[in-house]
Amino acid sequence: MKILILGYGNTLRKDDGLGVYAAQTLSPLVESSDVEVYTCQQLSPELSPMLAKADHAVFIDAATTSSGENPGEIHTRSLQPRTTRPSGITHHFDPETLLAMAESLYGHAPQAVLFSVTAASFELDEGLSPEATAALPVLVEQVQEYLSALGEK
Amino acid sequence: MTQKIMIEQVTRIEGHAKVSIILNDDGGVQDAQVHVTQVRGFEKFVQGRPFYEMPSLTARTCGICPVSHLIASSKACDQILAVRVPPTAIALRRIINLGQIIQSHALNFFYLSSPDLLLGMDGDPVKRNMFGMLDKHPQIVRDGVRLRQFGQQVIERLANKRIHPAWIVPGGVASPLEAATRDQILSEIPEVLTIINRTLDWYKKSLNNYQEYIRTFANFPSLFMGLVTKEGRLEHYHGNLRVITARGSMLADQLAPDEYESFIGEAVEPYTYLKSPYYKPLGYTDGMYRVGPLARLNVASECGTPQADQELAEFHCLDKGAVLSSFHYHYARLIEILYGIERIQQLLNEPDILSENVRAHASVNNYEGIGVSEAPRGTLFHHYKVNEDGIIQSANLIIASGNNNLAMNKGVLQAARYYVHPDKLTEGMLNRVEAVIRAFDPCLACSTHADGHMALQVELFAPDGSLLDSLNRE
Repeated sequence: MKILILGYGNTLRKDDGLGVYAAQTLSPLVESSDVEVYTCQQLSPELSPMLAKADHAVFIDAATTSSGENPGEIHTRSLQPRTTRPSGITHHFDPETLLAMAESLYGHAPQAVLFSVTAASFELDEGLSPEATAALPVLVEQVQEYLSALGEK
Repeated sequence: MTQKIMIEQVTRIEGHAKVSIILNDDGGVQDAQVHVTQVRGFEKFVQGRPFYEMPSLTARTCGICPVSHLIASSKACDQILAVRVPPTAIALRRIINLGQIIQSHALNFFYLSSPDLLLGMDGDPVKRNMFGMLDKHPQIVRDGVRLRQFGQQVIERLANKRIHPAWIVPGGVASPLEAATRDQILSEIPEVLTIINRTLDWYKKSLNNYQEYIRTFANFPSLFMGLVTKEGRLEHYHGNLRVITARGSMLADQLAPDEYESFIGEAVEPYTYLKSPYYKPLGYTDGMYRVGPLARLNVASECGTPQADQELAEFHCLDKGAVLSSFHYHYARLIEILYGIERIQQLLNEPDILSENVRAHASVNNYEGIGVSEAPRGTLFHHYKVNEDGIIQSANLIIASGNNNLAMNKGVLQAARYYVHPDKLTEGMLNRVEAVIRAFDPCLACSTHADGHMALQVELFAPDGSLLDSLNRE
């Protein structure tokens, strides 16, 4: 079973880099050769062939605050390939669109899940906010638990 | 009464622009202007920084072609160090530069421009994009994704990072090439050669479908400029500049890039932050020239790789003199992708490519450095002056897209005169005007060294300056 972990974000925009930091933390902890950890600044169409080769995909990203959420909160949701096509390629390519591309172009989209952490700051700076820093080890543990559960299936 | 049409937010280009189309009293198009509406001031804020930071700093002007800035900037810094860069480092810089050109050309041709070619200029703008092509043209999308991925992987494998790698440094490169990396890239060459040859076959067969656009998309006499080798071959890294006329005759050859200030002027227009470079000996604006893939293929007598040479010979037959239509930038990009793949293969097979001697070290030995290379969109100039401590006193950047500013404006005027009929303004009409800009593939964030995103705005103005109509797209 091939698993792809995709941590993405801009490490020069404070908590936006959380997905990258989480993937970098996970990388040495992953022992199975069936698990690939990949980091990038943003999602782009060139990732779709890689996704199409995976059975499971784990996306890790920072999220903007919506009502009732506190910075540092971790959310998990399963993803489906997007059925409505976006109007174009922008700098905001989302995981559902990427899954749709994989399915449409290569005939397969993996089962996918998104781990997101509500960010406290997207300001121009390196490093994480105190809230995101506190969330990082919890997030890594949750992803590891998710991977373990997949292995038991 | 004069009227004006504005295209607000030009779409599927890199950066932000808007277009004004000014009408005359008879309702015809009198003038058109491309406004690049952003400024960032890199030349100013790098003053006071150490010269060795310049490659990393100036690479931040662009997320599409940071490697091009790294190359030109490092070459300028090489001159400040007054070192002889090891030949293997030059070969590795050439490879990563070609990887950059391949991925950037694939982005423009497959992601940004092919929706117009395959789905039609009048197609539903909601579907006239890469996603709209998934159902009808999945093979072309797959090919585009693979070619861009290959170019990005060349960069990532050499420099460990796809965007803003810090591997190209003053004096050479930071680390040698590993055998496994070389072998991995070489193993993928046959696949990507098959893809680009398949694309060229399809594109050449479909050229007849685009005759109207070939005739009307910035198809006019101008000069063409690009780097060539001493033998007049296609060159992207070193070499000297060649300038030819619209008839294809040599106007100047083997111009030293270091002396660019003697033959290139930079005019400023009040309606745009993008400067308007011109060839000084002919004056402003007769010295209008074009750069980039179309210009490079026009000025080069041959490519120096077998398959690209065959394609170049065919390309040169498109016109009697230089190939004048900017629509053929698309064709030229495909030939340059082919050349890039073949040339990477040649360079990776050089006997010293794994040499560990890849960087020369020195301190400040010159107070001035000029680095010139060919970026995907054309000739790129970085010029720095430093003090005895290597602190930047002044910087001048002439960006590839800026070189094309005069020609791009003239091209938009030509297309507007042909396609825009103010009494029945349509989206498809304005898309044709945008498509002319897309053919040049301008990177406006880069060329104004500006901040922000890119989109297009078109506005139609009456002779008295009142806004008649406007189209705004993100």
